Amino acid sequence: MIWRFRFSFIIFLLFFVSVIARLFYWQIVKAEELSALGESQYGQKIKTFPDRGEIRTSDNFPVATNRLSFLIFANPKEVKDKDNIAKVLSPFLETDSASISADLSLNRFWVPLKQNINNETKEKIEAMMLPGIGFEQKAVRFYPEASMAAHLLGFVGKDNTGEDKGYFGLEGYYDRQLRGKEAIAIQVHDAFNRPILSKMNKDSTEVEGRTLILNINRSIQFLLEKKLKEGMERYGAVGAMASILDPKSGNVLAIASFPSFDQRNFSEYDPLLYKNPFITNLYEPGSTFKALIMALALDAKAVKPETKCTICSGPITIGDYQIKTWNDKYFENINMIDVIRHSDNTGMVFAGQTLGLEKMLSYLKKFGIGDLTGIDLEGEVAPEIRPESSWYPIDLATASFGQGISVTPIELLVAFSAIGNDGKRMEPHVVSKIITGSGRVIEIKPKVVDAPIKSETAKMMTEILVNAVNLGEAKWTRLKGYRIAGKTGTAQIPIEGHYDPNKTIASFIGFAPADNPKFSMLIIIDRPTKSIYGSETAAPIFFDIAKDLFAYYKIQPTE
Amino acid sequence: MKKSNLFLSAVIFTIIFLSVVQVVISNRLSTSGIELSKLNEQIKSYKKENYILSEKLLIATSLTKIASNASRIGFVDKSEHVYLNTSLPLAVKR
Repeated sequence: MIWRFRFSFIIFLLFFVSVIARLFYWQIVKAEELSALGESQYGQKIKTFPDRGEIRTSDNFPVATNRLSFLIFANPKEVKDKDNIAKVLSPFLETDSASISADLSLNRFWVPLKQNINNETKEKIEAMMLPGIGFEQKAVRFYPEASMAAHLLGFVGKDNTGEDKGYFGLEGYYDRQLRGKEAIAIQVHDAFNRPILSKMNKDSTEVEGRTLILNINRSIQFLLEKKLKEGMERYGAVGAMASILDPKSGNVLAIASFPSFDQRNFSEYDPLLYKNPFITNLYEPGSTFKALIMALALDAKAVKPETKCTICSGPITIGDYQIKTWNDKYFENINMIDVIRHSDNTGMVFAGQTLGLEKMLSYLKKFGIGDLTGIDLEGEVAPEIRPESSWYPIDLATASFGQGISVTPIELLVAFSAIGNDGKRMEPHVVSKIITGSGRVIEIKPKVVDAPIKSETAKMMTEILVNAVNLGEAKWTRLKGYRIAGKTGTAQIPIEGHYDPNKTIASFIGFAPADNPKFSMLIIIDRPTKSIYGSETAAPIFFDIAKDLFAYYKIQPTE
Repeated sequence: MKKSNLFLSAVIFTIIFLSVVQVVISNRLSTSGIELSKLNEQIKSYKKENYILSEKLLIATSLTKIASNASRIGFVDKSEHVYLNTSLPLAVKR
């Protein structure tokens, strides 16, 4: 009898084990295959397009973000009274009814009628419950401050696959970070097309675009653009550009150029306007460059502030050329402090020649002239300085007062700012932090690139520049009560082998307060017509902006 | 004998119990898709509302709009800043 029980037990056990084995086979071994088969039958691939990351100013206001936009479409097969519906839609879509009617008459299942409809219009049309009319929603780029900071931000266009892509400025430089990555999720549905819980294929937090937090101060940016545009119009100039940095950190507080464009409708503007001229345009800086050359000469101990110029009693002849001062006034035995104060070209030639070409080129390299500054904007250029062997004596002479050498405005401002930062040159940064989709913060810290001059030289040069502001050609417009270090510039424009006698690039560069600079600023006015001089155009704009900056930063007068 | 019966009963009971539990859980899970769908729709609707409200808020608080409104209602640029005296000395000689 016992053997019957045992036999039955073994049979049941075998049956049980075979069921387990079969279950193991289907649920473990074949799991993936069956799951895929199920997904293909009942699953639906959902592409989730990430929102493009925001760009926020230092006060956390998004100057580039996203908003909802709708595309209105029609299914012509379902639209019965086409003419009537076209007439109804025409005022909402701001399109003539004949054009809508033509679209509705097409032999298709899906016809787009108009893009970029706002939510209000969409709701009004939806309320009418027109048969065969539907909406697709998507997020589009939105700039709450309208066309402010267009050159800085750049714009979002399409690439050759039709996907959104950033061009120029921050949208271009940080495109990959802002874009994020689209995710594909498989959603399994039952027979009634209701979703069954299913996990996402990818971690959804990884796909969102990253947010940029800028060093740009929104109020200062607004102020700079307003004053620069007013100044450009007041002086009848072709263009104007300016930037404000924090010399201690290299943080870019504001940057603006005119003429500009509206990044919301970029396609309506000349593509030549898209580039930010502050980082892409080359110009001969003129007298603003004297501050750098004099700083080099002082640092190399080629000259001292009290050194007297022995060749400054009249024009200087070099080869076939004659070098004159801007106003044809000459000061015999002028010292270096007054060379800067009077913006004396002959005095600068003396300083340059005493310094020597080799040292000048070596120092200029340390100041970053001829190299990219590394600013985080798309499109920066940097013309290389010619090799020493291709320089002639006249080149050395003219370079000493900022002619015959080309720089970008950002190069000059970054180099000049080193004088206000104890001789240390900082890398300029527009972006201060990047925030990932998961909330991780990536900080971009200030970076010292080089130390072209010693701290003592920087202090000396600062005093010389303060003296230039107080007693130089721009003294009529300076801000009383404040110590501002600065230099005017009136650069001639080279055209086909000679200099245009009537047109100039007028500029003013400076930092303040001189003893503990809070900002450095370069103003460039391109071909002003009311006056060609920097002291009468760029300087007043500089001081006007500086006045507001002092109030903004609550900096009291010290004198 | 008794022990093997007990063991067999326990195994069979466990199998039946786990099968019933699996059926109950699968059943509840299968209908949660409807809730998931509803929640997804709610999330979409809140996101859309967020977008619309954000857009209105950002335009209203933009410096461009504020400056335009200020100009429209008669605000003008300040001409000169007025500075009060700086801090008083701690002790004054009389």
